[in-house]
Parts: sequence; C-alpha cells; structure tokens
Amino acid sequence: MSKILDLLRLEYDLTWRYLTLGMVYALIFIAYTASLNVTTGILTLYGGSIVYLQDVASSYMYSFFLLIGLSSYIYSKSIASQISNGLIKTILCYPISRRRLLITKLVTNYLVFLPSGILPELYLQFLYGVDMKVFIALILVFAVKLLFSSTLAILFSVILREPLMSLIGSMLTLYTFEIAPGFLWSIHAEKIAKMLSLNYLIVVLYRALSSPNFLKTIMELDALATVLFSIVFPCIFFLSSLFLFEKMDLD
Amino acid sequence: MINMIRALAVALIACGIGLLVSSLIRGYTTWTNNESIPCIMGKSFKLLDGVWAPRNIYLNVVVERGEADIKLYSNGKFLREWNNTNGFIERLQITERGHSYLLIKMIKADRNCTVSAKISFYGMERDLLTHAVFILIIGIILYILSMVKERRVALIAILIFFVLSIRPVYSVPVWMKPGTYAVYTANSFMSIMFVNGTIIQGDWKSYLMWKCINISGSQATLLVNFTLVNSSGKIVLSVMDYVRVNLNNRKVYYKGKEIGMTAMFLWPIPHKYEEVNLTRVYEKNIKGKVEKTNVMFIPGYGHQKAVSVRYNYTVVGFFNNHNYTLQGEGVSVLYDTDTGILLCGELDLEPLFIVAGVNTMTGNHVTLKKTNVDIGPSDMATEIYFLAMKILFVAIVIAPIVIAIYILRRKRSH
Repeated sequence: MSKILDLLRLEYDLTWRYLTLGMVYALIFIAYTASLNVTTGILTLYGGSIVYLQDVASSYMYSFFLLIGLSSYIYSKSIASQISNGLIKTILCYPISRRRLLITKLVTNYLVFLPSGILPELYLQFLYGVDMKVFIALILVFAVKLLFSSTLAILFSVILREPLMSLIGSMLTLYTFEIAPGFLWSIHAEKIAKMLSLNYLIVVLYRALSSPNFLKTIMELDALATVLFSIVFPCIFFLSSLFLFEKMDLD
Repeated sequence: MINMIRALAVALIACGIGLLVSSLIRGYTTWTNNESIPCIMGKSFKLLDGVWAPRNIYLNVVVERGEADIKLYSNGKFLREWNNTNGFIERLQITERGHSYLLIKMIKADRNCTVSAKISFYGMERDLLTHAVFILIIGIILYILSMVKERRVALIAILIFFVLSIRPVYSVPVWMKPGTYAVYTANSFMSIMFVNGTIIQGDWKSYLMWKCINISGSQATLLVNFTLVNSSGKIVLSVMDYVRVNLNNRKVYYKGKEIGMTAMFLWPIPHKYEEVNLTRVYEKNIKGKVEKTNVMFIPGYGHQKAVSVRYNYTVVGFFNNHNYTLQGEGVSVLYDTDTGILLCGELDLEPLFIVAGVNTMTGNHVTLKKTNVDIGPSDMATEIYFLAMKILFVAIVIAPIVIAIYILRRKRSH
C-alpha cells in the first residue's frame, strides 16, 4: 500500500507543479462559471433544473475544450516526455512493472484533474441549490469525459513517444471527437451524432436518475449506445496503451 | 501532508481567482428576458418568477388596455410597488440572490388586456465577488500555514487574530461616534404645527443641534437641542432632551416610545432613482425619491457633492380654530454623498422636533452650520470652475480699462 502511495506521490511531484495545478483549476473554473448565461439573470423555478441543465449542456463545451487541451498537455508531459528523456527507465528501476506504472499515471493524473470539474459544480450547486440529480449527472459526465480524453492522450503519448507530437495528436483527435456530433447533426446523421455526443449524456443521465427505472429510461432515450461508447472506448484506448507500453523498446 | 495542504491552498486560490475573473466576465454580459401574459380583471398573477441574480436591473412593464397594482418581491421581501399604473420604466438594484417576482393585480382590464414585462440584468453579481474574496483569503491562509515552519504557532496566531477581530457587525454610519455633533439653522416664514395639532405662522429662526453622547451596539443616545427665535430676536421655545436612535434603521425613541424615523442622515447612502423611506413622525411615513447628484456650497465646508431626495407630504391641523392643511409638494433635502449626513433642504417633518412638541414645520429650510463629521474635501472640479469663472469675470471687467489705458498712453507718446 505504501509503495502505491509512494508511486502516486512521485507521479504527482514529477508532473504537477503548483503553478500548473493552479492554472488548471482556475481556467476550468473560469470556463465553467463564466459561460453559464442563465444564472446571470432569472433562473426559473418551475422546470429550472432542466433549463439550468440545458444551459450547462450548451456551455459545457468551453470547459471541455479546455479540458482537452489541459489533459493532452499533462499526459504528454507525464508519459511522452518521460519516455523521450529516459526518465521512465529510472522509475522502472524502483522496481515496478510497466503495467502498474501506467495505471499509476492514469490514476494520479485523473484524481488530480477530477476536482477541477467538481469544485465549480459544487459551488454552483451551493449557489443555486438546483436538483441534486443535476449535480450527479454533471459530475458523472465530467468524469466520463475526463476518462475519455485521458486514455486517448495516454495512447497518443505511448504511440508517438514525443511530447509535442503527442500533445498535438491527442488534442486534434479529441477536438475532432468534440465537434463531430455537431457536424453529424448538420448532415442529418442524428443516430451517430447522438452516440458520439457526450453532452447529450448530461440530459439523458438526469432524466434516467429522475425516473424509477434507470436503464429503461436510457433505452427509451436511445442513449444506450452513447453510454456504451463512453465506457467501451476508454477501455479500448487504455488496454491498447498497456499492450503497446509492455511491448515497447525503451532504448 | 504539507504538500497536500499546499495543493489544497493552491486549488482554493485558483478557484478564488477563477471566480473573480468569471464574475468580471459575467458582469459585462447583459441578460434580457421578455414575458407577456393576457390578464383578467381582479385576478392576481406572477411575472418573471424565478431566482434573480443580485445585479442592477432595468425593468420595463407595459399594461395594455388596463390598469394594475404591481408589487415587486425580492427574496421574500416586499421591495417596490406601483399603484394604478399602466406601465413604468425603472432601474433597480437587487441585493440578494433569491426567489423574486412581480405580483400583478388588475384593477381595470379590457377583454384583450395584456401585461408585458421586459427585464435586463446588468452589472456585477455581488455575491460572486464576496465568495471569490472569501475563497482567496482561505487559500492564502492555508498556503501561509503550509510555508511557515512553526505551523502550530501560526495557526494559533491566525485564530487569535480572527477571534480578536470579530466584532458585532451593524450597518451603521461609520462616522457616528460619541462626541459627534451637527448644528442646523433655518430662517424663513414658517408654519409650525405642534403635536396637539395647533398651527402658528410667522417669521422664525430655528436652531437644531444634536450631539451623540453614547453608542451601545447599534443604539446611539443623542442630546437634542431645539430653539425657536421670533422676528424680534426673542427666544420663544428652547428645549433640550435625550433621544435614542437605532443606527441600523434610523428609528427614534423618546421616553421609551418609538416616535418615528429620523431624516438627519441616510445610511447606507442611497443611489440615484432609488426610493427611500425618508422620515416618519409617529404614523406619518414619508417616502422620498433620489433624484440627482448636486454640488452644493456649504459655508465652511466648500462645494460638497450631495444627493437630492424629493418628497411630498400633507398634514392637517388647526389654525384659528379651523381645519388647516400644511403641505409640501416636491420639496427636497440634500445629503452628503460621502457620509449620508443632511447638508441642507426643507426638513419639514422630523421626529427630533417632537422633543419640543413640534410635529411639522412647513418652510423649514435648514442648512448645516457646524459639524465635526468629516464630510470630505471640497469638490475640486467645482472649485476650479468657480475660480475660472471669477477670473473670467475680473478679466472681462478689467480688460476694457487696461485696453483704454494702453490706447491713451500710446496716443500721448505719439
């Protein structure tokens, strides 16, 4: 246990600096609270949760765009940079298996990132006191989005092994994923658009949490594919990263 | 552990900065909403129902083909009302985030009567700023704690500092201290109505002095001296007595009974277009409207910026055993914009007069004669303007003389 904690601390010390941590938290807080338009005027009481949720869903884009950039930067710094400068070989001398090291990197960075989305959400919950289900739905979607961008960024870092290239590669791919639903809506490919749209998942999760049968509501809203997509794809990305990292020649 | 505290401190500072920046960004956005609803005679209904942000609002209500009584409730409190109106445009300030709405009751309504309300929110959200500062302070304290070697000593020092600095907080005028005084004079033709309703008229000179003797919490004890001198210079009335004033709400207590609300100061200082409860003598409540900011010349204090509060009143008494009405139409009083103290104006109804048995003094145009309250430096812009005007006047007067002398001297030399 203490070995795992030591590794988590080492990963935190190597990747995060106080300035980086502050920047990440401040930027996500700004993007999140500044873009919520409905709360600058009147938030209706009747159906206010849905109005709030729709506003959040439409303004969440800014925070996610930022999250993509920041997570790509952090993982390229944590993995690609350490592979390219050989530091990862020193860490592997600890001794620790490659698989465990990669899992530690994912867990540490994920856990440091996660409160950056929870804190503004918690603050807005305190300020407006909207339905608790709204808060849960938003946190779940943020967690899923973060997992998606983290695993994809790890995959790019492992494949490209060069910090700048992996940063650019993962950022471009994640932005493509982010804007793809909008484009697909415009060409009337609604089904695929829904599947790829994680923002749509916010409303779906809120409705499912509000209804007595969680799974049935998700099925009724045609969102099962979206849920599966958001769980299966990160798993695929991370398993591929593990496989590649284990087989990789670090010399 | 230390690293974790430091990380938490950094996260809090970051969130505080984030909140500060986003409140600035949000402050620049104007949020507008329109609501229109058909209405039925005699029925009450709500408009713009919801949680209102604590910002400045611009409210434009139109009652088409009808008349209505409209009340504005904000955060469970009654804020404003407009009676028998077919529409209005108002700028208001919402101070607290909370459930607010317009309650509309139709008095007259046609078949096609509609009420439409347009509301725009602008300016900064006050609560976000307060929270941002609070989060920043906590973050900074945590960061300092994580940096200092003697953490326990630092923690105790911070706790002691907070405990010592905590005082009961009252929204009271900051300048009101034991020893504070103000003297007002008025010299004009006045109608004076006493508490028993008797009215006398004549040329009077009045002196009103109050001095703060003691402050306990939000209660101040004032010594009031009211003197009335007739046209021949004889003192007709001179009374000195103590009153208690609640500095939170300006309520005045005399001999244990509440006698009204003083208009000797306004605190907090009202904003332009704001409606204020100006004064109250027994049950007679007078509301005033802040109209404009003037620059007034107060002898001894120079040019002072002042807000003008306009009000109307009517009181009925007996003059020569007949019913007689005293009224003030559109009279105004002026308050200093820095301290909220009364500078000058027609102070006709004031509970402090009650100590002398006077209820109303119509035409009582008072001027601040002397005070030890620092009402701020003279307004420099106005001072310079008047100085420039004086120089210009002197120049206009002297210039022809100088030119004439110059021409004459040149002619002589030729």
